[in-house]
Amino acid sequence: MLQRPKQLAAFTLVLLAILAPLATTGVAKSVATIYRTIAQTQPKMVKIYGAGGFRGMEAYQSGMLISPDGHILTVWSHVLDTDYITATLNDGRNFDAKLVGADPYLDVALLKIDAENLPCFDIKMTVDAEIGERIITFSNLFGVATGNEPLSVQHGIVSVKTTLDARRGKFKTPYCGPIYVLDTVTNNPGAPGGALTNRSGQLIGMLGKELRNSQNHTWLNYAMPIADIRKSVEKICSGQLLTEHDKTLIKSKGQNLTMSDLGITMVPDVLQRTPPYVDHVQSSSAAEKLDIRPDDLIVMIDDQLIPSCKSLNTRIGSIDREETVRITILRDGKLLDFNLRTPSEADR
Amino acid sequence: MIKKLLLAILWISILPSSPSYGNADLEQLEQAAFQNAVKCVAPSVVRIETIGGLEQVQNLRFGTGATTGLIVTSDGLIVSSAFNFLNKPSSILVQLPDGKHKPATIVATDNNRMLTLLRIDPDGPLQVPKYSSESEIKVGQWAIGLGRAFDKTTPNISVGIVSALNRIWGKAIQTDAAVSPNNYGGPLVDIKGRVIGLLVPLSPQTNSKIAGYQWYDSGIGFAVYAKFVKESVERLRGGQDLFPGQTGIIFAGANPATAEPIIASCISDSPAQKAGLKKGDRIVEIDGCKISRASDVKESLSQSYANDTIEIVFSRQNKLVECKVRLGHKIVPTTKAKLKKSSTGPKAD
Repeated sequence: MLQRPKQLAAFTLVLLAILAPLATTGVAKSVATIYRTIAQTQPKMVKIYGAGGFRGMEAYQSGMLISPDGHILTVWSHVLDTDYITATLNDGRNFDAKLVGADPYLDVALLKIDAENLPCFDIKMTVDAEIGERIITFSNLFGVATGNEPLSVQHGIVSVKTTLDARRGKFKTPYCGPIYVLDTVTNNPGAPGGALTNRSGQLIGMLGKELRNSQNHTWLNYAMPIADIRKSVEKICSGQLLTEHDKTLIKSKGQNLTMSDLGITMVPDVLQRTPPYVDHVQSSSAAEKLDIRPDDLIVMIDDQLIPSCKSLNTRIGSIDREETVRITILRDGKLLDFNLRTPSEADR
Repeated sequence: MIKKLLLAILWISILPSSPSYGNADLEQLEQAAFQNAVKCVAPSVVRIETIGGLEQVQNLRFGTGATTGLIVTSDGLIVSSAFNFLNKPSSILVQLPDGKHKPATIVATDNNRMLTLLRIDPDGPLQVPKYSSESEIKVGQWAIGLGRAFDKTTPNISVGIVSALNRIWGKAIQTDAAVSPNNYGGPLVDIKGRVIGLLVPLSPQTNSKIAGYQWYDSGIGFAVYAKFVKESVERLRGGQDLFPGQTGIIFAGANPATAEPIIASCISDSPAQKAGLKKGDRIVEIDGCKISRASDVKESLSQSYANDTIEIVFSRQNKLVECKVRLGHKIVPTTKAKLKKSSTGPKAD
């Protein structure tokens, strides 16, 4: 009788010795996850070489395999503007890559190499990232990696998810859609086309072209969500040309609005950033009926800040004459909203 | 006995996994903590938009993008980085976390800690943040920066650690979290969402108004200590701009970190000269703080402003002397000093 508890005790101690290191903390687990993620992701990454190499235009960028038979997703750029594109895999093998197609509107390109059974991302299985989520990026920044060297890995978090809005000329890129802003410096030569994954290696996005944020002239560290470029990829894969892309966003339907349509004359635009003050309101105009007055400062149109007369003209010019605009005015330290509409011919 | 022993062993073997975080992924928990910290302070972080203003300041192009501010009083005082208003905008709008726009006016600017105080007229009481006590801040702890440059509803965040304390002559905390125009004026908070400082561009080398901008997003970022922010707000709400305090003392030697605090000269008509300080005096104490190097003087003075009066203890011919110096704003060598120099010239001839 006495023997058994002793054996049990000994057994428990052995068990404890085995389990203790596993159970201690989550640190071991976290570290294991990132090692595994990197090991599994690197073979899916590609170094791409093409045109460039002069006047600060690097001749390389990054890409990722998205099919076992050699489809490579990357960004559309000058690097691909040649008949000789080379794709170097993680194991060092070089392949001539063919451009299958590109979507210049989204800055997405698809390449194809003749190979089989390659490790790859499944772009149908992408995930969203939340703000504050820890992420990893894989890119050939500055062309540091060559041959069979793996790409550079960086870590950080998702800083914010926001929208690149090309229509308002906020960012000088044809891509306009949601982006992930990252808190790590991913905006490097050679990095475009790199992968953004979460800590367990699920694909979230693709690093975009080097870009300055025209709002404050800083370099923008960002990635485009794969979910948003998947459609483009599918269209390119199925051989559809993407010239018929949804251009409604950038093309106005009818005639554009002007301030004089609304009966407002602005102060002369003489400064770098002339504050958009109303100089004169035409009698019996839409503006006068709403009691818009000279010296009113127009601060927002449709909730969009108007920092100067120049941006007022750009903004107003992108609005259709038929639309109603909401103008926010600063008068005597108070914000006032007005809904203005161009009077139709019949009204006149 | 054995049963008890067994129970004890079993208890011990269960223990490591019994706390709720034992088996969870530490990184997941940290991530959740970052997000919670952001949630705590986000209602006190506002978006600032400006109208008009210069396009360029000291060769630096200014964008028209939104910047960030931190609510400091529930009745509408908001503190931000002075950098955000260097281009002298003609009008300022503040967008509160609930989306409402309010016109704002500049109350005053602190040109020493590079902070600008704004005032808005809110509809109701605003949410002020919680502050971390200075003694709790340790190098290596998590530091999260918040801004509202990108999105109207969600703050942009960056995560790093506290890299160093008492930087820029004791004014600031250094962090490796990404700091840039995207979050200048926003708070740097700890893992509990308590404000430890306000993000501003700073540089130890120069006092230029855009100093420190060149380090944006580089892993070298600064936040003015929360206690200094609060102190500045109290002084700025009176409406007077604050300037760094100047004495007019010049020390010998190129490196203030190694130079002895012995006065090489006092600029003519400067506060130091008026207080009776002379060449050869060794500064021993300023406002009760011991001074052993010329750099200590600079650090001690960085806490004070023009028109503040400081107490200097110095030794002259092995005697300790105390004097009061009323700090100046701009110290310009006067024509009197120049005349003196030229009058010594002909004598040599």
